[in-house]
Amino acid sequence: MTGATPTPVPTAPEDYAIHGQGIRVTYRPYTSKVPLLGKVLSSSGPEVHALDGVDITVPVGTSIGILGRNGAGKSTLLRVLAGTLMPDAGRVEVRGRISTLLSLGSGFNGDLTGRRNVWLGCLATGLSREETADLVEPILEFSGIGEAADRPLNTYSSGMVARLAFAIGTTMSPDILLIDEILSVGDESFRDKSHRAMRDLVDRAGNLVIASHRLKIFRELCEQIVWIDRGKVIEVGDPKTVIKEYRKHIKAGIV
Amino acid sequence: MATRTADTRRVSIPRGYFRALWERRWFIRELAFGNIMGKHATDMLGVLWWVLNPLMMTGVYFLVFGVILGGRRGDPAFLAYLLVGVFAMRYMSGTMVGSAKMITGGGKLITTIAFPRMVLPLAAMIEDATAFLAALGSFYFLVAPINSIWPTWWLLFFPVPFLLHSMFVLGMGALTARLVVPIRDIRNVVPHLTRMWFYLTPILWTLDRIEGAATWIQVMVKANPMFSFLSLYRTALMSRPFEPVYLATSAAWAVVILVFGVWTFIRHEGSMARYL
Ligand SMILES: Nc1ncnc2c1ncn2[C@@H]1O[C@H](COP(=O)(O)OP(=O)(O)O)[C@@H](O)[C@H]1O
Ligand SMILES: [Mg+2]
Repeated sequence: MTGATPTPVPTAPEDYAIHGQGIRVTYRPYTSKVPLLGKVLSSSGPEVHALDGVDITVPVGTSIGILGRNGAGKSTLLRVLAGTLMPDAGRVEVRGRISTLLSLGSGFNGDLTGRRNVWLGCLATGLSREETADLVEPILEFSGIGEAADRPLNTYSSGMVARLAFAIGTTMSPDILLIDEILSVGDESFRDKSHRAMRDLVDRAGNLVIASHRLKIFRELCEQIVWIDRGKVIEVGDPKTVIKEYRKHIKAGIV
Repeated sequence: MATRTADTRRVSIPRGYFRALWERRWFIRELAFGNIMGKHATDMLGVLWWVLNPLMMTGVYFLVFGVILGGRRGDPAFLAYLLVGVFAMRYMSGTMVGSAKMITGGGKLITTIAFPRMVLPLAAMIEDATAFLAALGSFYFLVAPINSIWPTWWLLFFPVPFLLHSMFVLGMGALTARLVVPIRDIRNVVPHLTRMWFYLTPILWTLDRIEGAATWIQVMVKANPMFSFLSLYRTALMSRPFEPVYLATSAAWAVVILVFGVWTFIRHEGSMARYL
């Protein structure tokens, strides 16, 4: 079971929520401290092939885990699926409304209060003012941050930011929820609450895509795992099998 | 369920882009006014400074260029002449700097949430347009009477230069925002560029200063898009003679820069996240 196992392609197009083919993303970071001069002097820095022809299919109503070491390309893949990064090559088709928790709370503005960040997050996703107004209280309620809602975000602990981000992501009841490296934050009770919310989402025929290098969360929440390394899909399958294989490789020091 | 297809690089503006932009109108409003509305305690003071800042700046220019250097002899209503120019120029440079800031400061928002990125220069423009209008509003109360200028029917013409100028400003904002992503140094260049533009536009000085100057200087001054917009503004606000040629050049500049700026911005917005 090595090499890129092709993702099973559903026969009817209605079957999937996300369908990506041959996704390729290359970063060309500028190494120079003076980017303008750097750009003129040396056309570009070393290229990073963050995604190198990735195929991914998420059938409707399933939760998928994206497994891989640091730097494997998980966050990049989620950005492409979220539509915030246009791939250099390949195609992505997404059905339904996406809500992102790409690295928890990263869409936030620290100078603004938690409440205003909730407003901004909802409006940016494309909700109307009325929809947002209806959601703000439930979101703050779910997050359980209490009167901290009216304090600037940079006075929050990382756990509180995570709670707020998670509350926004799930309360919007998206069709697809993308989560990047999350569940290490938040205390026990919130973790239970958030797991329940995620299962509810999947029960409502919603989709979950979780990227992590932690294995526990996958066993609890995911039906399928896509293991990527160096921008390539290594294996796709049920959590048990893939995790076993992944462990073996880690031990052997192959990946 | 909506289908979103993200193909490779964009060559044209994707279908539904402007509808998606319209759907974000509340987001735009929030970005444009959020900083002022968010802190209700400083609400009034913030708005007051919007008006006071450009007024005080105009005062300094008037003292130095109008009184000490004698520039006010060039125009019977030099203070008003100066003020219209300073405010209009601030509107443009403010939007250019603001658009760049929205992009570099909004990095986290951009890598996390998918929305049409034109939201950012639009919000920057709307914020500065509001400041511009608020500052101009003080014009008829404070400055115009000093120069014995009273509103005429030409005031109804004001929306025309305002609209054309705003189109131009939005185009310049989008252009700056598009360039600042791969070339961060643009942030350092823009203030110098707009300052030079300001000095080259007849704002601190009047046209009689270049009478008899070399032809290329005459051409350069008159070809300046800001000169066209200012001519129309001065017609509307100061009842200066209306010259149709400046309406034509203003409209041409507005359309060309808006279309080019927005087109190049949207074409490249998909790769924005990889530089932030
Ligand atoms: N903005 C960027 N510019 C340049 N290289 C990047 C950028 N973001 C990520 N990378 C590189 O792309 C590769 C994949 O990164 P990422 O998707 O963040 O991996 P993961 O989330 O699995 O840890 C890494 O080698 C990383 O260094
Ligand atoms: Mg990551």
